[in-house]
Amino acid sequence: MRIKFFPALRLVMPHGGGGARSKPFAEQVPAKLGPTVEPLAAALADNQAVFARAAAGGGKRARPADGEAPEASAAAASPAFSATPKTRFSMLVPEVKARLVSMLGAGEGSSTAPLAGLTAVVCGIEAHVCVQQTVADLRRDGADVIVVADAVSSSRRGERATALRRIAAMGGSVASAEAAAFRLLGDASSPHFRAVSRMVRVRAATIGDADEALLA
Amino acid sequence: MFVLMVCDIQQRFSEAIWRFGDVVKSTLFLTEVCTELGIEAIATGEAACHA
Repeated sequence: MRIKFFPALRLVMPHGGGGARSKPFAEQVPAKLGPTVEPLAAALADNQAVFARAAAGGGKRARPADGEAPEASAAAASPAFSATPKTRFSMLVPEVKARLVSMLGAGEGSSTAPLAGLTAVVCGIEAHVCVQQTVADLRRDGADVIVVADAVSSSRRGERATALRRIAAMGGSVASAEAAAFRLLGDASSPHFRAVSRMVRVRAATIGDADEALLA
Repeated sequence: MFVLMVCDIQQRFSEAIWRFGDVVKSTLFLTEVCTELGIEAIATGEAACHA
């Protein structure tokens, strides 16, 4: 199956196979809604493998070694990230919130703002339902939020546009994916600058102006 | 500190969501950037059939 504006994207069932990638993260009622789309699921598995390796190796976060295949790093990660299924229209279910608090560690947050010190970059759907309510919960708990305009959408354009206005009114920032990437990178002197710049160039060459509608 | 939060990008929504493919592409890009930078991504799915 091919998706308009993303011809390379295949929608397949990633849970059919075995190995460390068979269930890289939890999805709620996948039988009803289907799993996360495969290319993204694989990228998320790679991301989670980094942190599983770090946890197994003493806590230092490290990318897979140069030349190491993503499959190899994923296979080395055990267990992969998992989350408890949710029914709320917000990502900030107790299990996810507890994970974010633990990521912040001691000295961050407070009883009234347990996620203070966290900046959450939010992508996904639907903008006016789960994304918007996730932002509301994050802001309530003291987190800074960047919602990625070209990485959120709804079934109707008007719902999405209204949601982005409401998100801004809540104090969330709305940025493009490229702007968010450079915010995450932070500094041209970063050792990751060349790699991220290359990703930006490749994306720009691949996507063309297809994301302009989402950024308008 | 930063975290990437990926909300409900599920197969079922592919036909219902405006510019779904572009959303996936941009999220994929940011996931790869975060992996490069050592920033953790959290992903969830959604049970409700609102799309």
